[in-house]
Amino acid sequence: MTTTQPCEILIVDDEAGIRELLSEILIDEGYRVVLAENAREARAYRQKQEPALVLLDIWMPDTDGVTLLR
Amino acid sequence: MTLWSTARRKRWSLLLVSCLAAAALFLLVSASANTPFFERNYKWLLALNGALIITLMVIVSRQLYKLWRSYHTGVFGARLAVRLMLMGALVALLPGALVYAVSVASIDRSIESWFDVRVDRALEGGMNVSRSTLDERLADTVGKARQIANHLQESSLYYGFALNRAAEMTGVDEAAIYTPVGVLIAVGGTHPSLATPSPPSPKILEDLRNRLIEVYAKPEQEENDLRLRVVLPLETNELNDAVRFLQVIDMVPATLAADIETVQSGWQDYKEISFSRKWVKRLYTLTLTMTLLLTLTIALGMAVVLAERFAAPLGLLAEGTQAVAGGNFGIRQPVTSRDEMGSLTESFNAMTAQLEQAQRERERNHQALETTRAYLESVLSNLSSGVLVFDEWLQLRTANHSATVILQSPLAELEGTALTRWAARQPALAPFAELLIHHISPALNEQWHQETEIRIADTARTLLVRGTRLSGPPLSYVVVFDDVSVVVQAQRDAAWSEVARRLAHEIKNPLTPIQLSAERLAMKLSDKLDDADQDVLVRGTLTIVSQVAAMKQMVDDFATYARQPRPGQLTDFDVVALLNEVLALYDHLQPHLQLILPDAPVILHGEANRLRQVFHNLFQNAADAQADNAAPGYRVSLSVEGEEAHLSVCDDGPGFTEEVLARAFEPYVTTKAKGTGLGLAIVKKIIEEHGGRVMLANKAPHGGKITLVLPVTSDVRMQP
Repeated sequence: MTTTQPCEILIVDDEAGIRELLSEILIDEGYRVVLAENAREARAYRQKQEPALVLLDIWMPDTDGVTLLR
Repeated sequence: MTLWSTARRKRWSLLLVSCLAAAALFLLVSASANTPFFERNYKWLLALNGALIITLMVIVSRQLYKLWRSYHTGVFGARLAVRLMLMGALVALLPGALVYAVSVASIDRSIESWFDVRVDRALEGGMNVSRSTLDERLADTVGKARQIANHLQESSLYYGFALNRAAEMTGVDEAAIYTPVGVLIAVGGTHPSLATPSPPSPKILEDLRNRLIEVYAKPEQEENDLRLRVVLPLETNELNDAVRFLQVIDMVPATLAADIETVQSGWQDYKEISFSRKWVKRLYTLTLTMTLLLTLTIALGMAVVLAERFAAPLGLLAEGTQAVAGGNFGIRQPVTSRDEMGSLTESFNAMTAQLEQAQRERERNHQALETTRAYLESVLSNLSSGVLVFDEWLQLRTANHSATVILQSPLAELEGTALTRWAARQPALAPFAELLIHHISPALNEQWHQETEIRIADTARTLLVRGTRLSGPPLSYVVVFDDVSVVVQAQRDAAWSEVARRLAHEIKNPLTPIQLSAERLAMKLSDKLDDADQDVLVRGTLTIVSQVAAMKQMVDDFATYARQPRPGQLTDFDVVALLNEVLALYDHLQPHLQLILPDAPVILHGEANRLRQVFHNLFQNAADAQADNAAPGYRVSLSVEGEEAHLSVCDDGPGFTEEVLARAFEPYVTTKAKGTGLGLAIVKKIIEEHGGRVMLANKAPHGGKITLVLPVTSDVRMQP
């Protein structure tokens, strides 16, 4: 809220409801939010940019969060 | 079987004595023919024969006695031997008796015929004729002698001359004059035997001189001649007073003499024989009787020997058949003859050989059968399924080991007991027996199977029971059953694990956004509402948050339950200390708590944290069960038995229903108004992971009792 250049946060979750709720809250708080539905999308984004923070769902259909984190 | 073993010796002795007797008899018969030598020894021969016959009789009667004894003691073949012997004896006796009778009769007749009346009279007549002839001649000679004497007295001539003349005149063969001492004084006659004068014996002269006899006149046999001697005294006269005797000898003609001789000797013989004919008859009869006795005795002896000989193979065969009857098929009798008996023995041998082979075959089959049976039995006893076989009256015929183990009853005692009487014999098996009766009786021909729950030894068991009828007489039924409790439990556990896993995922996921949203709502709107609305918001938000927390707790319980077992932090810990630590949190129970703990620490190996959860669950359950109880009671005891620690928690609540007892460890089975029904399921899971077991029971008069059994050994591995 004090930063002029808001931090970029990557939210990785397969549940659309959670993705949206989180992004709404975080945008409300003034962060830039990038959404990824699955591990593949998250990796694709990671190739281009490095987000300040990644919110990772541990339990996802294709790849679990811990694996993606590594 | 002494009858047969000494038979040979007997036979030889019999034969020997028979030969001797026959020889003696021959001698006897020869002696009967009047040969002088034998006549002398006749008595001895008779005695010898008698002795031999008696010896034979003794031998034969001993044989007979033996035969009789074996007949009465029932020696096999003795009956036949006796019969043969009797027949043989009869065959010998009849002709023997006949010949004897005929012989005796003919002896009688022939001997009597010798003494016929006509012959008697003829001989008598002949004898009389010869005697009268002789007498006549003698009288004639006496006459002549008197004539000579008269002549001698009348003449005074010299004796010699006068004598010669008188002799010639009378025609006597010889006339002689003797002195009283027998000295010849003068002799004359037609045939005087001058060379060999035969003076009268002194006795005759003596008799005459003493006037004992007047005249001596007798026919005399001298060598081949029959002569008539007449002696008389001469009258004395003045001239010659010396005593003199005149002897006249007249020869009987040779032919006449021979005839007289023949008649006389024949007569003599005849008289002799006639005198001894009774004795002769007796002699011949005796000889015949001896012969008959000997013949009969020998025949009897031979009959006995032959009968025994004939029956001996029968005895052997009987021995053989008795041995066969006794189960000994290895008997082979020697074939001693080439006749029917021999071929019978051969057949017998062939038969026993076949029997033996058949028996061996049977034994082999039996062995094979036994092996198969043993194999089946071992299969049956190693089968984990219980197998019961019933006959058509529903009586138990076979029960394998597993059946005993599963039903936890000694089924061997029930063998032969009908199903309907099982309940009376072993009440614990009543439900099981009822189930079987229900299924076996109506559906005779069909295969059936049923999964059923039955209490066995206070534990509910799920049995999968299948049954069918065995085709073919005798009618029988087979019931196969398995204790599928573990399998069913595992299936249920797996199903619930899956449910829990899915629930955890599907329910827990939305909970986070719900809670987040609620909290965000409360935060965002808190300063934008008036107090009344604020209050509603706060209460609503709190409700949402607390309910979500409750739901999360529930889902976590599921997660715990459904969690794949994993080796956690395994440590050695003192279960007594752990119990005390947990109980400290149940302060409010203390007044009603009866605690029995060992003094020494009880060391277990495992996850202390998870056991802590178990204890919490148990105490909570005990407390919940007595929530409405005004006077609750708790009893917690820990003891070590062998290598196991027994922890029991009792309460004075209502206890467990049958249904609960059967399924208490399944998820969602609960007696509580509130509760997930996962408590005991989790307890069981954890305890089993520690290699232990959990038991539920009711205690008298009311109340529940739950017992944990955990191994004390330090080497506990986590069970999958």
